[in-house]
Amino acid sequence: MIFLRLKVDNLYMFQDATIDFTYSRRVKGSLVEGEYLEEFPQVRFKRVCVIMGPNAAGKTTLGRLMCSINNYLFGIPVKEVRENIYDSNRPAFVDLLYVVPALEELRRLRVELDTKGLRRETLWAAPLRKSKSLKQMESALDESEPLFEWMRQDKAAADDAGGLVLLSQAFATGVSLDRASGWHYIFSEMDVSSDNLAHEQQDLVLLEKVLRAFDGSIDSVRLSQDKDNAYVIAFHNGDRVIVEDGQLRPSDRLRLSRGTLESIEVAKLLATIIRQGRGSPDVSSTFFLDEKMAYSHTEMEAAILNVMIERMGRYSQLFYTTHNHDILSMALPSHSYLFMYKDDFVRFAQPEKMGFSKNDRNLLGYVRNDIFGTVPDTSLIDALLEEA
Amino acid sequence: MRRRVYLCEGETEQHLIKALKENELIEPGKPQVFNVAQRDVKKMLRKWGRERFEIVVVVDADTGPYAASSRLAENIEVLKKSHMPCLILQCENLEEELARCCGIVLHKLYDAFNASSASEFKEKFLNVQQARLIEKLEHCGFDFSRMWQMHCKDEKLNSTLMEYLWGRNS
Repeated sequence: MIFLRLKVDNLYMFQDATIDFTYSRRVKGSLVEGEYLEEFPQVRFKRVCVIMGPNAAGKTTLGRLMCSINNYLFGIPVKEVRENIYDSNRPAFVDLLYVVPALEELRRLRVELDTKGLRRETLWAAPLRKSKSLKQMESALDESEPLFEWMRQDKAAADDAGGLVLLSQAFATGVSLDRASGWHYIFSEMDVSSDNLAHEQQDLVLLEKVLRAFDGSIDSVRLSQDKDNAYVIAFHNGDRVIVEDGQLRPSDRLRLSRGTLESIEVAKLLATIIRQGRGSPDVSSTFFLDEKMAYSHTEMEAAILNVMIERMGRYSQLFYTTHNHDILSMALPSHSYLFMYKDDFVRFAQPEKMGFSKNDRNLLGYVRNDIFGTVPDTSLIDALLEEA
Repeated sequence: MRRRVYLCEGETEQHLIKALKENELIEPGKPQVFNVAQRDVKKMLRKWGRERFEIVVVVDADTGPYAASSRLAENIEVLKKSHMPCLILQCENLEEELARCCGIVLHKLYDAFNASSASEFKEKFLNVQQARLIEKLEHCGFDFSRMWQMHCKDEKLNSTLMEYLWGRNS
């Protein structure tokens, strides 16, 4: 599944919020290649989305919402969404425009919910057309009869033991929303992730390369001879730490720097991205890495992000949140950046919609001048220079 | 694009600068609260680094810029060595400046914001969404071209500050 547009209202801190994951014009010489469907080149989508914004701007929440959407489309009951309706006196909705390359269909799903649970679910689908622009296809989709429609009856609401979770009624009645795609989300909290991708044995060759780049004192990473599902990180001085079931012993955690510790998870995602890109490049997957490189050197962060972009599958999307302004210096098209900030509610600023339509080397200058409202206000911190 | 920081005396000035910037009435830059007429700007230099960028200082005319040796003048002296300072003097204070730009008396401005005092005005002013602030001021007759024109008292201004007065060199 490829995200094309997401509208959200009255959920979390999103109020009448829209994010467009398409772009209008191809960028000549773009270093993010293949941002369109091969058979339907007018369907242009962002393969890379670097999300920046101050603390508490809603970046992680956006990731959680998108993760919930992936789960929902797959037919997995979604928890903890209903509780996050902002104004409980009116329904919230999520309206998603997406495409499943394998189905060659443009789809729109609208899910309305209230404090009782799912209220209404509507799915539209229309075949993709080579000769039509995305806008034309979308208009045709909007005028078509829904492929599936469900509305909650009051009685059903009373009986709805499920109110605690959201389960797609389309899925429940045999209409597939998207069972073909994968996802892998890693959130900034330690060890919080969600994915539906096949777990293979940790790619130790890759992990060794990543860990040695992060920590020059690491000599090798080898499979443990003594324990199942464990590997050993060996240091030049003979020290060893064991990672068992993906976890380090608490005492061993101090042996690795915070950046190196986080790189273990990043390496896992990197391995998944490379495996997907190599094994099934046409399967679309959603990858979301949420500030997982906050403790890494800026050069290391740019290097890892660069590999992820290069190696991911053609129809996959990478969402990457960071505070690092140096990432703005990477040669990515301006539409690869999404800025978030919060006033009363979460707001989005998309540079390509504000006139920054090419590889704009000055994007860093604009960001530092707070054009996108993403530079945190440090006035209260600076006041501590002189005040108690 | 040239990097620019606006140093504002208080939150209301910061709110206004953000709104003016959003409406493209002033050049882009990061507004932050730092009262240059009272605080020591040297302490900010470490944070700002060695890049020579523009620092626009917004101060009230009633905070002592006319004194021969004021904190403001000292700070401008410091800034001119490492950055490109630019000074904006407000007519007495923000409310007076806005009323002047709207061509109305102060209490009419307060009325427009349903306020009856300076403190209430500040509170109501901050409650207006940044995106709607200029529109609200325009309903009161706000004319940005009249903003920050302090010619009347220029002759009293300390010579150091005069050199950096907004509009003199740009």
